[in-house]
Amino acid sequence: MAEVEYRAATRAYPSSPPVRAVDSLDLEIGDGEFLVLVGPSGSGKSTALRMLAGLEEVDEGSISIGATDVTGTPPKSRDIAMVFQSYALYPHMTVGENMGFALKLRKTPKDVIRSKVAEAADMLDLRDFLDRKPRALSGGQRQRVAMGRAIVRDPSVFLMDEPLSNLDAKLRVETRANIAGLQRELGTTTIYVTHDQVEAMTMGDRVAVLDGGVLQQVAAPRELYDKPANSFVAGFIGSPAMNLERVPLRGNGVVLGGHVVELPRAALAAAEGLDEVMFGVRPEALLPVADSEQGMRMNVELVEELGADALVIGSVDVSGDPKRFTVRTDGRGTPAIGETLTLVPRDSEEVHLFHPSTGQRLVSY
Amino acid sequence: MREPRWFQWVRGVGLCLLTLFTVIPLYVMVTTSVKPLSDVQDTFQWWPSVLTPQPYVDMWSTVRLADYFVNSVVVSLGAAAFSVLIALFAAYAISRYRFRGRDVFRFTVLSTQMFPGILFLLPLYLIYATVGQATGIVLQGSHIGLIITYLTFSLPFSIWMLVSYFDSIPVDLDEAAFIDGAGPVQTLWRVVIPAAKPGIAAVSIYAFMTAWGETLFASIMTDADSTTLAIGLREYSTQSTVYWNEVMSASLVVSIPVVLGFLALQRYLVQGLTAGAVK
Repeated sequence: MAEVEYRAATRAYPSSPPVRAVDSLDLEIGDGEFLVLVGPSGSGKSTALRMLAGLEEVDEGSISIGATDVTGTPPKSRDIAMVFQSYALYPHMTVGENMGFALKLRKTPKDVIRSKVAEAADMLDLRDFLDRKPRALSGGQRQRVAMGRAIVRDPSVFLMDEPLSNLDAKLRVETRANIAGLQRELGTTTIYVTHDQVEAMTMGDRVAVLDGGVLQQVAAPRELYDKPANSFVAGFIGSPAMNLERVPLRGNGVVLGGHVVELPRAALAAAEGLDEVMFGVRPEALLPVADSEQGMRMNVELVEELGADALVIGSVDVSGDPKRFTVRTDGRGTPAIGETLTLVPRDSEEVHLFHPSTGQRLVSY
Repeated sequence: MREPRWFQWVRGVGLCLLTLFTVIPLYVMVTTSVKPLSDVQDTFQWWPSVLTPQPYVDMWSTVRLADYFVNSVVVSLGAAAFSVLIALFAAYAISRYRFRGRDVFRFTVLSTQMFPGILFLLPLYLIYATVGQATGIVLQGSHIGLIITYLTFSLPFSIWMLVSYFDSIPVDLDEAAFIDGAGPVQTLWRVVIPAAKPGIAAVSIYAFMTAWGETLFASIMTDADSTTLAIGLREYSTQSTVYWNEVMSASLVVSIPVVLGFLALQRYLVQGLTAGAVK
């Protein structure tokens, strides 16, 4: 087990201009921590992981595992194990041989290999499949073999590259919990790449959000959700996404849906000198109130019933243009299409303000 | 959609003709090989009047068939073995590494396939003669000379076939092996080659058959001690008579190794060994 540290680590692909797939990444992962790297495709999250694995070169900066600088070390000397998105099981080997391959390469005695493989197989419910070839297994079983191959190694760091993306939705939820539980049990430092923000939020001790090769924010899931550092993180984390619009400032608030939404004093102070801001509010942070009250007006265009609750989607007037907003409401008594809702923020602290050009968060309450 | 009746007829007739086209020569071969010599020297009989196993016995003494057989086996196995061995390393490098001159190399390898073999006959002959004079290594008329000759035919195509086969094996497998602690050679040997067995089987058969049936170079590059079967079969035709029945029996026997080779390797040819590797 070990901590991991990226210091200004950069991967630049030669082209003109060079593409900086990972740009000066500074990131520390604690011993035994479960860190999730999340971002849209092309954000550099897989590249960052592969740099740590030694499968991708580090063009600038350095990476260390434990106290050792591994920047130029080949993968086999890094004491890491990796679970691939495709699983990458050796097709000509049985499940047991797949899991024991790394130990065999290290000339571990046969009986030790056998007992370690058996132990991991018990943990993953693979006992009955040890003599099968990967092609005779289901998708979920293959995924577990890939996990088993990593566990048997007893490495100092686990690397996982979208290990659940080839499973169906139900199995994914189940396996998600299993992996998180297994990691807690083993206590091995784990770096987990995903594009799925639900996986990121539910599995990670901390989550690092990347976009365009640049680290946007690294924080605990709750903090990421409640205090996104910039408008990218705000829009990326959360499903349905945060309502995020550029709105004009006027007096002591912002003009939205024909109404001035009042802002706290700290927010106004932070926005001083600007004539507009990026205004963000999560769908569940908007409350419908009686029509007679003051609030922003929304024309209901679509209602998505989810059972326990419902998503009401409609348009809100922003500087003369209709903008799409989503509101999460109680599943019963949803408004009808064409109705007008009057909405107010549930709490002034749930209103997020970002700089209109840099996208940085303006206040930190 | 149902096919019209006339189409079914045309197809049926067409396929029957094609089948006859393939089967009749085989039939003639088999029946002729069990006729006595007198029956194959005048008018052709579709149905043999006398059946005898004698040609299968006599063919070994009429010409030195056993010697030629050994020559062919040595040369063909040698060519196939070297072809596979060299092509494996070349194809792995082309498939997995990006290096200066990679595309030039690929193209050069392919371009050798664009010239007719006879163009190489004279240059190769002269090279062998010169090498022989300068170093005393006898290439011309020797097994090793013939193996090298056949390598020049089969190697380029073998490399191409294996490159496309390696390309179909996900790089994830190599990377998983690296992380598991294997070096490049171990990865090739323990992971990539086992996954590429069907491709390797195809290349071996191809290289073996190229050498087994070749006549042009064999007729120039062999001497009495290194004559291969394809050339040796001609010797059944002497000045006084042609032993057609023995030609046919020998031809059938000569085909057996190729058929056996096919049968042994065919399960690799049809089986997708990479199934289950990814996803």
